[in-house]
Amino acid sequence: MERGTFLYGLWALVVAGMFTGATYYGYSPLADGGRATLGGAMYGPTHK
Amino acid sequence: MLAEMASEPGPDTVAAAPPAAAAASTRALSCPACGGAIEVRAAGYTVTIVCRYCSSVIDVANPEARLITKYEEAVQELEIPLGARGTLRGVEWEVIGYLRRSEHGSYGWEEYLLFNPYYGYRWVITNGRGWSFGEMLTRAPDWGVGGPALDGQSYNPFFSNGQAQVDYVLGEFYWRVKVGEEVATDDYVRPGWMLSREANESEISWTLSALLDPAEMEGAFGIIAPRDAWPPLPHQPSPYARPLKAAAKIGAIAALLLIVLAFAFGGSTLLYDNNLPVTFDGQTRTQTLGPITVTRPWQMVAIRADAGNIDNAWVDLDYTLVDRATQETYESYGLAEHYSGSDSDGPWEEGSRDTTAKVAMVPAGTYDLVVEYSGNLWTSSSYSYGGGGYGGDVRISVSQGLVFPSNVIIALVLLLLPLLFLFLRHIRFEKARQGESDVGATGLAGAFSGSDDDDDSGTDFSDMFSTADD
Repeated sequence: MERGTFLYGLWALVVAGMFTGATYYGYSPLADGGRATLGGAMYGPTHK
Repeated sequence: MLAEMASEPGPDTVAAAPPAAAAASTRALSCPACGGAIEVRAAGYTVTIVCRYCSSVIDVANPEARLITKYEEAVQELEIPLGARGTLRGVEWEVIGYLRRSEHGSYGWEEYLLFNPYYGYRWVITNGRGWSFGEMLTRAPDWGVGGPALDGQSYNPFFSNGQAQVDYVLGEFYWRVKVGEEVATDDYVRPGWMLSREANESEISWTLSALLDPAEMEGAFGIIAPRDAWPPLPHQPSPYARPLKAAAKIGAIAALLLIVLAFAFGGSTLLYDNNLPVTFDGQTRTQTLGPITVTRPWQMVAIRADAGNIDNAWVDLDYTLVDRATQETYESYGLAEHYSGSDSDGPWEEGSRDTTAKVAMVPAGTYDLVVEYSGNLWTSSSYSYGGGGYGGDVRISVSQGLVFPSNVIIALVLLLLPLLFLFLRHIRFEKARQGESDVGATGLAGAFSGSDDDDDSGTDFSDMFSTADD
């Protein structure tokens, strides 16, 4: 196997791994929202 | 490339191949011009020989070795000395002749005649950018679609209607070679191979040349052959073609795997839904919905708002998921809107009454969804924040899932980028290779070429990936 082909295979594994990891964690860099950073809205107890 | 035979077959016949007999012997002559001792290495086959001392061309066929002509030009230093021996493709060859040829003084190239008493004659040919190993054919190729075919392999036209002349000659040959003799040439190529046709008024000959790896010439004759010559040789295979094919297969398998995974984990589970009454008065209201329990260790939470039948109005929605246990918050927002009207172009409408916000990486737990929202009216002349009444309900639905569709697209793009890079490099290589062709660019290179451009003209995507070393 040529070096370039091997490297691309490795790259494909990395991409598939990243996709699987993102799926497991429910992550996307293009998500509409996520955990609030510091300075975000603060709420007290929202339930009884 | 090629040489005519001393015999004279009809104009449509293929010239007989040079002798490949197993019984050749050496013979010594004295140059009639300078008296120098000359060794004829392929005695019995050699017709003319050039004196290594005074460059006189001698007719070996004449028992008295009659002097034919004499060149004033001094013997030049050859890259491969005559008499040198080297092993190419498993056979030891001796260099016995040298020709320098050109297209009427332009596009020069050099040909070295090799001899082995058991295998006959071969050629090594160079134009300074690489070396080829040629063998004269004993048969004419078939004629396939658009070009000749040999042993089931088709060849594409590359150079056509050329006129090759001999500019300089040294050594011994199997035909009566002389400076200035011309043949009509046509060359056909496939990756790694060139099929050359040479014709004069009396015969046609074909030569098949294999592109030599620089390491082969270095191993055989100690020649440091150029690597990565630019522009590429006519029959030089694209170094990107094979990796591109292999990578495309890998990429297709990986893409298929991603799509299967996306479908396998692409479903969602509805966790909660409720209605929010909306008044179009521009006032922000807050409503806490829940509880919403998500069970997986991590997930994407999708919050969908459907504003029903609103028109010329919009509803701003700010969401905050609040973990009841830790008070950690996860924020997002949405905008449900719809506008319509009529103008000189007729009726129009735009906007979407439902909107979905996807919140990433929400850990397992029980959450409240705090929604801050406001309803607003719009008129064609101005915004209106008040005066509106009850606008109906906005239905809020919360679901959990795993796969962001955007992740699938990002992964596919990441898989595709190296392929695109290889593809554009391949196209660039092919355009440069075919740039010297008399028939113009064909195939993918032709498809990606502008009208009668060359590799240096204009801008195209393949040039984006050029490097200085090219």
